Parts: sequence; C-alpha cells; structure tokens
Amino acid sequence: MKPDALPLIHTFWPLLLIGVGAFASLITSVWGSVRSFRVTGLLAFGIFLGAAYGFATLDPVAHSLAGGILRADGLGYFLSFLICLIGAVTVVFSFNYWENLSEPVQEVLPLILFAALGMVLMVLTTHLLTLVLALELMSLSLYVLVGSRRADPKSSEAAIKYFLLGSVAAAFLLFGISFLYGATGQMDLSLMGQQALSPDKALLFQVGVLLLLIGFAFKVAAVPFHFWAPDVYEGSPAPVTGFMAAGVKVAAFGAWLRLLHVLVSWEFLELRTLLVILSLLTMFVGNLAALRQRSLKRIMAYSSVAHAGYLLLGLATLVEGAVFLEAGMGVILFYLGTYGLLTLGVFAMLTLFSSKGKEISKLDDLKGLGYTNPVFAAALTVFLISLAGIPPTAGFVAKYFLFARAIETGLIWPAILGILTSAVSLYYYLGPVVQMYFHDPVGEKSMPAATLGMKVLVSFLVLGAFYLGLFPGKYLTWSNGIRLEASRSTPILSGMPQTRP
Amino acid sequence: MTPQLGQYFPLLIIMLMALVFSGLFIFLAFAFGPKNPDPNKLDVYECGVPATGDARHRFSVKFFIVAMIFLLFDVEVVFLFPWAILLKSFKSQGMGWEIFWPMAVFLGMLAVGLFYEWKRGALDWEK
Repeated sequence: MKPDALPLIHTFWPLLLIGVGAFASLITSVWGSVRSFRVTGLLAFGIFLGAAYGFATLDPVAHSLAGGILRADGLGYFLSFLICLIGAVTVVFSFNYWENLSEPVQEVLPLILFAALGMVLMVLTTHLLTLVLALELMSLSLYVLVGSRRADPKSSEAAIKYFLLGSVAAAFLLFGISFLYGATGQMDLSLMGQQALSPDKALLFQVGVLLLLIGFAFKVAAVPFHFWAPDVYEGSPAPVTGFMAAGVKVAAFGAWLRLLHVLVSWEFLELRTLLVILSLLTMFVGNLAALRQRSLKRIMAYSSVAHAGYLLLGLATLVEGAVFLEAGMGVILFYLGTYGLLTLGVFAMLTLFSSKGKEISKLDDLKGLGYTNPVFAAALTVFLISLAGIPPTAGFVAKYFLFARAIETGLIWPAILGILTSAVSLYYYLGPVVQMYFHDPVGEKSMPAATLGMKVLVSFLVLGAFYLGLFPGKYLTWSNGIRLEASRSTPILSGMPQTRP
Repeated sequence: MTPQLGQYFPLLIIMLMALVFSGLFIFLAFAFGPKNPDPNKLDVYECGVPATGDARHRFSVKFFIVAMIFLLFDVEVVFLFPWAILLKSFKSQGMGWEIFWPMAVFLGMLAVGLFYEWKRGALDWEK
C-alpha cells in the first residue's frame, strides 16, 4: 500500500466502508432469494452502524485531500454520522416492508447504500464538481428507489416526475457552478474563499449563486420549487419516502452550509434577504397546503416543505453582511437531527401499517387505531405532536432554539411569522391523531406482524424524541461545537509528475 | 454592456436577420403558395418504399439493457486507452503503481457490475 493512501484510509475509512459495502451488498443480493435478502439486510445494517461509529469517533482534522475533493472537518463528520444513522434506520424499515412480500425487490438495499454514499460524499467535499457527482449518485439511486414498486402505477409516475424535475434541478446546479467558476476561476470552495473579486465579475457571480440557490431549492422542495414533492412522496414506498425526506435534507443543507460559508464573503448579493423571502414563502405554502390533505403521506410531504422553510430561516441567521456566523450552525444541525428522527418515526409507523405491499396512507384508514393498536397509535401520536413542536418533545426544543436564534440575529418579524405558521401546522399534525382516537374502527384492522428489529427501532425513536426534548444539553453542546475551520489544503496527489511525460 | 460582449454585436444582427428572413419566406410560401394536396404528397416521405404501419412500436426492454451494457463498457474503454498509453511513461518515472491501482479499482467496480448483471440473467436473451 502506498504511504499516500494512508491519510485517505485514516480519515475517511467510514466513507470507504460504505462504498465497499455497497458493492458487497450488490453481490450478496444477487441470488434473489429471501435468504440473500436477509444476509444483505444484516450486512447493510452493520455497515451503516460501523460507519456511523467511525464518523462519531474520528477526530476532525480540518484538512482537505486531493485538492478539496474530500475534506475532513467537524461539519462533514457530524452530518455523515446523521446520514449513516438515517441509513441504518431505513434498512430496518425496508426489511420489514419488503420481507412481507413474496418476492422482495433485491436491489433496494444496495441502492440505499449507494444513495447514502452519495449523501455522505456530498457533505464531505468542498470541490464543486465532486459535489455534483455526489448529488447525482444520490439522486439516481433515489429515482430507482422511488419507482421500486413496479406493479404500482403511482410509484412509476412518482419516479418519472422525480427524475425529470431532479434532472432540471441538476442542470440548474451545474449551470450555476459554471458561472461561479467563470467568476472566480476556482472549483474548490476553500480556494475560492481566498479570492478577491473585482466588481465587473458581480453579474457572473449573482447569476451563478441564484442558479445554485434554485437547484438546491428543488432538492429540498422549497417553494416555489416544491411541486414534485407531494406526488413523489405519495407514490414511493414508505421506507424510501422516509429516507428521502430525512437524508436528502441533511445532505442538501450540509452542502448549503459549506457554500454559504464561502459565498457570503463577497457582498454582491443580499443573500440574507433572499433566504428570508424563500423561507417565508416555503413556510406559508407548506403549512397552508398541508391543511387540505387527506393522506398522511401528502401531509408529510407538505410538512417536509414547511420544515425546509424553518431550516432556510436558520440559514438566513448565519449571514451577517460579509460574515458567516459559524457559531449559529449548531442550531441548524440540531434541527436537522431532530427532523430526521421524527420524520423517520412517522414513516416507521407508515411502514408498519402497510401490509403485503399495500400502502395505508389515507387518514380514513387510521380510524380507531387508538383502540385496535394502542401502542403503535401512541408512538405515531408522539412523532406527530413532536413535529408540530409541542413540549416536552424534541421538536419543541429544536424549534425553540431556531426561532430564538432568529430573534437574536434581528430577524424578528420572520421569526414571528414562522411561529404563527408553526401554530397552524398543529391542525394538520393533529388530524391523524383525531382519526385514531375519536373515531370508531371501521372494518377489521389486522396489522402485519412487526419484526423484532422494527419494535426495538420504534422504541428507540420514541425514546429519542423524548430524550432530546427533555435533556437536549449533551447533543446541543456537541452540535454547537461543530466548526468549519479554514486551513490550508494538503493535496494527497502532490507527488504527481508536473510535466506531461 | 461590457466591451467584451459589445464585440459580438454584429453576430446578434446576423442572427436577427436570419430569423427575420427565414420567417418571412416561410410565411410568404405558407400564405401565397399554391396548395394541391394529394395522398402521395401528404405521405411522410415522398419517394422510396411506401410507409407501412406506425413508428411507435413497443420495444422489448432487453434492447435497453443491451444499450446500457454497451454504454458502460464503451465508456470504460475510453478511460482505458489513454491509461494504457501513459502507463509506460509513468512506470519509467517510478510511478507505475500510483496509476495502476486507480484503474484496478475502477475495473474491479465494473467487474462487480458485470457479475451482477450476468447472475441476474440480463445477458440471457431467451428467458
């Protein structure tokens, strides 16, 4: 082994683990039997847990490899850790969801690993081209996952919609990056930040940043680029929707934090105002449109839009003139973790309610569940009221810190409007709860048996929702300590011959 | 307008002229030209073998798989040729392994893909 390869293995072994594991799971899943599905499931779960352990324990050294293609810093490790946990939870869901089918879709688990690889790479890079590549790896895997219920026309429709709009978003992103490159002459964000820009480059820069903003707004379903979200969320299998909602948000906002960190240093654009406007639009449309939905999955889609709005407000608090307020990142990181936990919780319940590949998502289907399945109904209630932000659950703490931060940094009116829309959201989050507890059960309700893993997982998620709500201190200290130190990059390939042989 | 963009102004004029004139002639032909339609003229293609059937057929999905595999291995070869040519000169500078391992990893990934599609029966036409 070359000595140059050592830092790569040393600082990024969890990333390599996911990559190698994705290929290994492709091999183990190839036999197409239920047994190979089980083996692959165990393998994927182990890989995610191992990688999560790695990212949590590795020491962030804040230096870049290979000219910014990979960067080991606190932010990247923290978000990768979240993504790995989300991946592990999704594997358990998928297991419960597909094992009930006579013929499990084998490709699901390797695709989840590949998508997670893309997400992790996305938060671990400062190089814009690698960012696009990682985003595409994530998106392409997700398109296939969304369409993985081949017998269901809704699933195929969702996949096509997601594919078309996702490609448009990628085109915007790539176009924006090319403009930024034209303005600065750099592809690596850490080098770009050291650049001084003359005012005649302002136009290129503005167009580039706006296009980038649009591209990412598509990915996190921010208004007015959210139209794909409800249909795609409804059409895809429940475990995939949960993975998509939680994972893509973490990855995209992670990439945004890195971009903002550099982009604020030139004051060619009122980034703060732009983000506040986008955030307010997203909060209002997301929360108001959710009121009219009759399907829990569509409600969760609009809820995801609304939460993107709160997170965008969090991004806006980080920008102050030409300064990136690094200390404020902790609030967003806390929110991302909490949102991921709660969303996965809701989709865990939806996975449990789907029997034999038939999804139960309509609110009417939930009628009387509080009497026929008291435990599951209670768990779903916890997740929903926590998403609405009721104490003493995690959702309350996350929202409290976010809005408090917004008020501290002078965004008083946006924060007040945000809190008001959040109050509106209580109505649609409580809708399913009302159906479960205040209506008599219709017909016979037979829940499919939950696997042991699923039961343990749901208990963990419920405990997590309360733990983060009652004792947020430890996690908050951790997320508040995350920094993006600027340091010189040490290229791994510095030994390459400079002249063409 | 910045001076760099200004020097392309004649190009803009040419494009506008092209647009105006071609549009004008198409419009004139459309408005004043004689029209005597007959079945042969309305046919999709006026000479050669008469067209039969509809162009919108359903293809077997196997064609797409073949196309995908072709694309995959075609791209591989695009990477492989320049690599093979440079390998010797890298080796003479004592850096043979540094360029060897990345390609080994890349080919390994492709091999896993090939194994996967073989095992899943994508290469059996009759199934």
